[in-house]
Amino acid sequence: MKTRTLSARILRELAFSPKGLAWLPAFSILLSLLVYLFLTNVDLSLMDQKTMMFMTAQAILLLGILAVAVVAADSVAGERERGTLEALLAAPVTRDQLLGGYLAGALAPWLAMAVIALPYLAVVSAGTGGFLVSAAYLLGTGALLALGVAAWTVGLSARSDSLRNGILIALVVYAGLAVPAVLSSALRGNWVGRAYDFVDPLSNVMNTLDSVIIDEQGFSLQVVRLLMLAAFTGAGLLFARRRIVTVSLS
Amino acid sequence: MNVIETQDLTKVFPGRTAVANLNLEVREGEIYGFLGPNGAGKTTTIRMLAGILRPTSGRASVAGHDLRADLDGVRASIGLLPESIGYYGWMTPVEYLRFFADLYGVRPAEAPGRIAGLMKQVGLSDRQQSRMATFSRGMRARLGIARALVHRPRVVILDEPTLGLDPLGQRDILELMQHVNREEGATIFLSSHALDQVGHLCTRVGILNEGHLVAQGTAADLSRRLELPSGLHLTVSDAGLAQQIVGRLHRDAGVAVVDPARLVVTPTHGEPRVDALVRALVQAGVEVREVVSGTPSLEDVFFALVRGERSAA
Repeated sequence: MKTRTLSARILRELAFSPKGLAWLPAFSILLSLLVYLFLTNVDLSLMDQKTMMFMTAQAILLLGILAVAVVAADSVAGERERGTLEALLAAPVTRDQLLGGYLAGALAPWLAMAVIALPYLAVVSAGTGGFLVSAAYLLGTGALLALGVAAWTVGLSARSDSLRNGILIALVVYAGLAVPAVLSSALRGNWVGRAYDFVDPLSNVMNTLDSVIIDEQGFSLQVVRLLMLAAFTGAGLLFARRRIVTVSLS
Repeated sequence: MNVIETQDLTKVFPGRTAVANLNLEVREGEIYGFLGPNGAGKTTTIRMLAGILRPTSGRASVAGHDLRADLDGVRASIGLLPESIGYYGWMTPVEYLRFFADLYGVRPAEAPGRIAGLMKQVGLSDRQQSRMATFSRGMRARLGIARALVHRPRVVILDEPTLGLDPLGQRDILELMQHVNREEGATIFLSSHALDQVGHLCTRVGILNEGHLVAQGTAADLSRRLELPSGLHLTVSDAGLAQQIVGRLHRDAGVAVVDPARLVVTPTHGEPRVDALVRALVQAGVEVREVVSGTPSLEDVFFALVRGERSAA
């Protein structure tokens, strides 16, 4: 109940505050532009349709995870900066409830963006018969990744003394996750790159989507990647819990 | 009955002891003033009592709930107004109070009536639909008090509630606290630097200095215990010179210098003649700024204790 109250406060802020009202339309416009380019640009429209689906899913994932990281960075650091943390810590709310509220609030942008994005993915995948599988993998792996990113970022935010630092840390985490995804083929050239690619959760999601959407491979080939992703998220949850229990005002 | 009780409550941060062996006793229904200079450990004590900071050692109970064994009970019994009052600027005050009512487990059926009553009590009924970002500091302080009261706590802890408010705003807050104490029956634990306000409002006071509770009781008790002189309180340009002159004029009177600009003249029998005293001082070149007859104020007690501690150290 208290977790719901805490997360509802974040959701309302995201949905009804002036800043909150800006990001969902902006995301919709970005996706519209992307799909418009896929369908009308001469070079892009010659691309294989499954590659278009994968690129659309990739864009949804990259933007969604970025939004999750920023909202999670605002959790403890934002409360501390606004001066609202002390009143929250004095309320009869357990630290687990507090963490649950922050995580649920941080996952909200991912869910909202996924719901907005699904029709776009449906348009791009029209006629391939791969929409449902693509959407299921995108939503499932994306949610697990979003939970992991939210947990790590809330944990880091718990020690940040300002929102600016919290967001900077979140962006560094995000950049660290996105490097292999952006430079994937170049990185795989040596063992360091391959190791990075193997452990990086965003790479694991991208490679899973690539494998499922483009190569149409089955679940059994995704198990190792999904286990790596689950390990990242599990470790993130443990880290966040440890940090939120010791969160202080100084 | 004591509603707040601490036994040897101590908080040690790396490299410094913020609060040492604190033994507080706050009685049910009173307005208790918690005084001390900056860095004395007042906010640390409040944060420990509110369950925000874990004590290093010692015990504390609030409204019968032990701080270590029943933290939720302690938190539910306290309404805290912290020194830094932060708000969610996009919320309306009603949404804000509803948010905290839910966190404190106020029954949904009861919450709207309670919130409407509090909004009226703090004088914000006409701003129910305004965003909090548009509120003045005084309005925010009043809303903070409403938030602290939303779950009908037995103890209301206020950390510098009048800080940064104009005199009118300060008076509003003080009247509100008296009203809350009288009408809601809540015990008020007031931490403040404003000695005149505390002296006017509080039943008893505790004075904290460098993490130690140096005194606890009514201002009159403390003044008697400290053997602070009552008599004429003079504010002058040079208390040292004034002491010599008064000493020559009234050989049987006690003359104590409180600080470089203030002294207290305590006659052994009868009041000294003020006109003769002032004339003698002025003739000697001492500027007399104020002469007050009466018992020592809380301010005198506070300075005597804090200065005494410092000079002893």
